[in-house]
Amino acid sequence: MSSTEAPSPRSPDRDPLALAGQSLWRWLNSLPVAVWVMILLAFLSMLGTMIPQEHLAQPPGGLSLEEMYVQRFGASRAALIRGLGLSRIYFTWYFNFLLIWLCVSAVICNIVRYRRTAALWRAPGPLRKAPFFQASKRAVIAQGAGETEYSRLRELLAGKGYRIREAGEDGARCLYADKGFLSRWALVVLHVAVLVLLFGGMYGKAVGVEGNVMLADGEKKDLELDIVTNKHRYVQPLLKLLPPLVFELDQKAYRIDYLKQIQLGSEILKMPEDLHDYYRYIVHDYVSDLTVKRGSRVKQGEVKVNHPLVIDKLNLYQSGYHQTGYLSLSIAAGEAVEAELLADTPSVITSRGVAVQDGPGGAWLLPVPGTQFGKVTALPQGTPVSDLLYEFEQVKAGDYYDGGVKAGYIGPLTIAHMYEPQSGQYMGSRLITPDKPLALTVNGQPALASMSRRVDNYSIFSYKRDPGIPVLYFGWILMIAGVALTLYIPFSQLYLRYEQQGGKLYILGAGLAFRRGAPLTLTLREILAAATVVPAREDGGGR
Amino acid sequence: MPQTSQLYDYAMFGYFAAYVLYAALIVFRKSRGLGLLATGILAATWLVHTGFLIERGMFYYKQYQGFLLPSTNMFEAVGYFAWLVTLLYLIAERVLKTRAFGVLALLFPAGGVAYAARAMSADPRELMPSLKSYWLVFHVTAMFISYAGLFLSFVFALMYLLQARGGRWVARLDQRFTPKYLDDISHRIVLLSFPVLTLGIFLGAVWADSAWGRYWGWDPKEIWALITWLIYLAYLHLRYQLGWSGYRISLLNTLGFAAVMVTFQGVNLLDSVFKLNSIHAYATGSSVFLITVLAVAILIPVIMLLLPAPPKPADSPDEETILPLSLGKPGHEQH
Repeated sequence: MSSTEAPSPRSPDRDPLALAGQSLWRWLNSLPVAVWVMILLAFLSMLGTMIPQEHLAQPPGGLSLEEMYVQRFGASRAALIRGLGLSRIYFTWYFNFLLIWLCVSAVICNIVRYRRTAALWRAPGPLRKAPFFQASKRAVIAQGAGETEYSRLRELLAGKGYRIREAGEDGARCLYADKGFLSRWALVVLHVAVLVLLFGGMYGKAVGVEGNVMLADGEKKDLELDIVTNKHRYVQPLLKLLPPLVFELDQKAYRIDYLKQIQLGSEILKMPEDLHDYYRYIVHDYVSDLTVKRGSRVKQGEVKVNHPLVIDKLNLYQSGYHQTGYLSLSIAAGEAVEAELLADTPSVITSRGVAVQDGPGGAWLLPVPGTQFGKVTALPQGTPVSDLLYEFEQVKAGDYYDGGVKAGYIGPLTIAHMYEPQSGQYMGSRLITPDKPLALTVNGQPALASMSRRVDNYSIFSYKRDPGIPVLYFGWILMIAGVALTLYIPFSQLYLRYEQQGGKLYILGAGLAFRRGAPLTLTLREILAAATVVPAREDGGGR
Repeated sequence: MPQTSQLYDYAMFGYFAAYVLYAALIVFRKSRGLGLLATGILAATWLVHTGFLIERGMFYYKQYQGFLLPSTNMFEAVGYFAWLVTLLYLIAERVLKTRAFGVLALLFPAGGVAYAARAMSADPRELMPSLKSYWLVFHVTAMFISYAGLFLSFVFALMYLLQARGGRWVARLDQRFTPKYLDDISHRIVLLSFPVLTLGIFLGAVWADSAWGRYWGWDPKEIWALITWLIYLAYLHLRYQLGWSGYRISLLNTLGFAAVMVTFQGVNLLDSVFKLNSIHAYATGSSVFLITVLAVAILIPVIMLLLPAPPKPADSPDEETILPLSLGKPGHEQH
């Protein structure tokens, strides 16, 4: 098309769609834009560590999430924070948009980089004319150099393991040499790794499933994985086609092991000596003897922290434990009552059990025997209650190890911290075991509370079926290898152009090997000692 | 085992003595004997500190019947970090053949060890079962090596910035401390540390996956590790692809180190300042030392940004920046 000819309405440089596409490509391939996206992502991530995030928040005192934000920031600011999504910033559309932008940018960058690297690998193109050298402030020209110098340079590079390509034109000899090309490929691999990571994460999110399940000691339970709920609406119809994933869990045994500490911390040593027996023992491990069955596949093993059980891509992690202890209450002349303890909660001891308050000023509530922790019912009017408030530590009971050897069984034991109900004044702490009862008064009458030998153990498992994990780890390994190879393998390039006419030898080198003072540069200078070396820019050729 | 031990006290004294000698070297630059004495005392102190770490490790071995890296609470973490910084410093001193940056680089080991002994609880921590894992050694060591490397890089970047702001005394410390040299060394240490940081984050993800069943949980510490990684990623891209060097890149380096400090220590303060929970917070509450370190790390780039741009030094590193892909069009701005 001649310059006078008007472009057709559908030509690429007039088509708004094509223009928009070109602009988008340029933006996605722009490093400054990518850097700004990185900075924005870092800034938003930082905000998320200054504003409590819903997925990590633990509202105090039975407050709801909304109440917690209002209490901390005031009604209007809380509304703004939640309205802008700042309370769940990592799951907002704009955060994900920036992440996706960065990833798409990596894809495009990768395409461009791959083309450039492959071209340089296949056909380095040694033919470079004088203006190529004159455009660089780092190129030099050795005047008076001859065929000998050119050949010696070539031999030097070949001897150092450089990959050499040569070509000639119009009485000039051109050479291109490079070394450490692996680092160029590593750079491509590094950017591919970002995509592999992204794919692994998205794949896992799209089809993976995770959750928690709790089993009492000796309990059997069916675990049906819900792989459809909480998935993207486009993925859900596909997931519904998959057969249900049901696993039969059978916890044959569950134990919580304790460790006898050699030395107690300075804070504990300040406490009364009889309390040391409680703090001396710390949870060492919690171990489930678990059998999991799916169809004909059966897997049995010990599951403990850092040692998950894997069956059919389902990972079962020992993520927590719970021990429920019981107090044996002897109040007045009546029969002893076995009362469930709720730890770390202000409680009163009543003739019907240990009651906790339903929020500040609320009704006193009792745990319901035979249910799992947490279910309580109102305390009948007129029930006698203890004169003091009690806060119990978590019950400890189980085998304990001393110096790596099983040394015995501890507990059940707990500590009761006592407070005056009206003023909240601390009245002391007492260790309670089956043999060391706590003396107390209930409505002025003496009573005794000792630990019952009964303890219920509950094993808490996290489970996850994430087929994206292997992909993700592969991506990470690629990335680490890519980063290390890119940064640690030095890449050096050298362009030479020898013009017989006038005896000019143009040289342009890049990379550590061609830095000032580098051994190769020094040898190169020795070879060119007889020539006059000047910057190529001052050759008079201009740019 | 005592809360600290005599070995720790000796190490603390040794760091102090070595620091005084390195400070004296600023005045008596040409005294070879003083230099050797400073290095000798520092190396001996490092060995004593190693002895303390072994002693602590043996205590944990008796306690838990397994190897455990002594980095489970703030006291131990600061000590372990100081130990790594000293080790890297000694290597750098040997490689670079200069002691002139010791007075800045050893500020953290000397100050940190003393402050940890005075203000932090040395009580061995009651460890949750998930921490009793060999991943602790790999993850924490990789992260701390990268932090220590980035700290040394920050020291050189800081010297560059001070020199650019008229601090001629920097060049008087060692005649090789030209802007180009400082910029180059700072950059090279980032090159060594960044892959280790990447590896450390990956090892943490693998550990989290095996312990809790999730490789990434948007926990504040994880997020700050990501922020740090993003800043140094931007650093490398800007340096290699856009040719940034000298003042701007040194400024970015200090910003990156501020992020390192928040990742390393600041997350422990998030609970007290912003009422946030982190499963990585192995100490809570405020701490004058940590807040000071954090404030210095954050304030340096802020102050430098607010000041008018300095004149370009005569020996500007821009002239000879190594651009591995620089044989394309000069100044191209694509990835």
